[in-house]
Amino acid sequence: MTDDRDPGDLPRDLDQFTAEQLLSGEPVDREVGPLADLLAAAAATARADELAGEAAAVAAFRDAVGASRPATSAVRSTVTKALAIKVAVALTAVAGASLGAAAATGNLPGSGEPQIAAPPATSSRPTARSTAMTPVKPSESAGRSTKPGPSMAPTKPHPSKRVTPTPPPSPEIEGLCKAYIWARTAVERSGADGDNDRYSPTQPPERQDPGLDAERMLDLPAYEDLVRKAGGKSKVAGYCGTLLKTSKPRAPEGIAPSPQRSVHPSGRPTYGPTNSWPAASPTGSLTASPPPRGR
Amino acid sequence: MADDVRVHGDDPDLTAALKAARHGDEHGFRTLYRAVQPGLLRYLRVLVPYDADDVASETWLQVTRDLNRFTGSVSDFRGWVTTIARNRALDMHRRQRRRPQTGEDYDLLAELAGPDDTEYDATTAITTESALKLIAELPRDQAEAVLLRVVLGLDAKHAAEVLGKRPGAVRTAAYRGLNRLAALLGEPGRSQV
Repeated sequence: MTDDRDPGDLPRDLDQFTAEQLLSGEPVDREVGPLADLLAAAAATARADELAGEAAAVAAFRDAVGASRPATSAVRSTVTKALAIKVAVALTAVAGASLGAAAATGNLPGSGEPQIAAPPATSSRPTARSTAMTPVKPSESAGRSTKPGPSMAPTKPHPSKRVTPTPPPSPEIEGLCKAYIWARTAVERSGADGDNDRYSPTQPPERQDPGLDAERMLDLPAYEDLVRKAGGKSKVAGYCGTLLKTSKPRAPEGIAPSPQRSVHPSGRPTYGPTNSWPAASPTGSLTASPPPRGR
Repeated sequence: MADDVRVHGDDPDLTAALKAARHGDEHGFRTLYRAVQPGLLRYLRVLVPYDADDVASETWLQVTRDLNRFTGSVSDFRGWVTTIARNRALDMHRRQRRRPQTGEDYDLLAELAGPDDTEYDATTAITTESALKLIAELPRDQAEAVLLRVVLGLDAKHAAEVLGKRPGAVRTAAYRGLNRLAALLGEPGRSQV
């Protein structure tokens, strides 16, 4: 390189050593004029507006960290609690009317409410529920083309878990089942409740055996048919649980979504695009020491 | 060289922050963000002036998702983040090319650094903005090399990896860029001292 300028002027051609110092942000030995100032300005401390996206980035980080952890039992119990509260509220609303009579006709008030789910006291629930919970991991199943998949394999619904009851359910039986299961759940979840007195007036409400009221319900004439179909009083809970789940897909919605409702397969993060990511990093790498690329 | 302003090297604090962030520590991530984001944004403003913020956001989104699988030093991290950002910026640039344009990538740089707004006055303090505009006047390979080295604090090796070139080529481009900047600073049109 040639330098045809006056010696005292700004250096047109920096020597490599000086250039490397400038590029590395090191103190420069020789006078290079405003060039050093220019580079320093370009690399100056952050301005506030440059960090405006910090909150969003941290939120995304939080999401990613949360999503990369398996669904915990704490989450599950929260869901269960929420359901229990819903059911308890529903029962309280129903309590004003005559539960037994209403149940016998299958015309329970509020029986058509979709959000009232079968309580978690019935059988064959755990597998179905865990299946329903796990898809809440949006980020990992997102369609990225580049990075190796994490060890966390997306879970798939297991349709084979369903047990179809042999007798076709009738609306009456369904109504009875709902009333019975609500009663059971109410006792289990809400403990002392004025409603409990309806079937066990002689016992102090707060010390009741869970499910006692519900069991007494089975003594009602209206329940004879149901008890017979279930194969005994002790089997009514399981029978009803299965029945309500299969006969009306929308009934157990809150707990065990039917397979076609599963959110999982294309589960996509809600916070950003994922597909437009251009062939990842042809040059960069996730690992510390990428393989040397022809140099 | 633990200069407080400079962004080069593997600062011990950042190393600890990186380790913590990889294990899900929010504070660690925040520290990394603050260390890398300003330079990243400045670089992106030269590459895609109108979409720099969006590209930066998308980049960090990607980083948050893959960070737990990242292994490497702080320099590697800088290089990794920059690579993601650059790929996204180029991708966006390609998509925008569908609209009629005169062609070269260089146009973007020229667009940013029009003759009117690159007025450089050495008598006043150089702002980050004016410095970037001047750097954006360089041919693209030189501008990128200078930005990666100076603004993002990458060494020649990592800058070369980001650009997909050989370190020697990137070094040369950066040197040429510096010389050209010095020349621009000395031009009569730009009011000198």
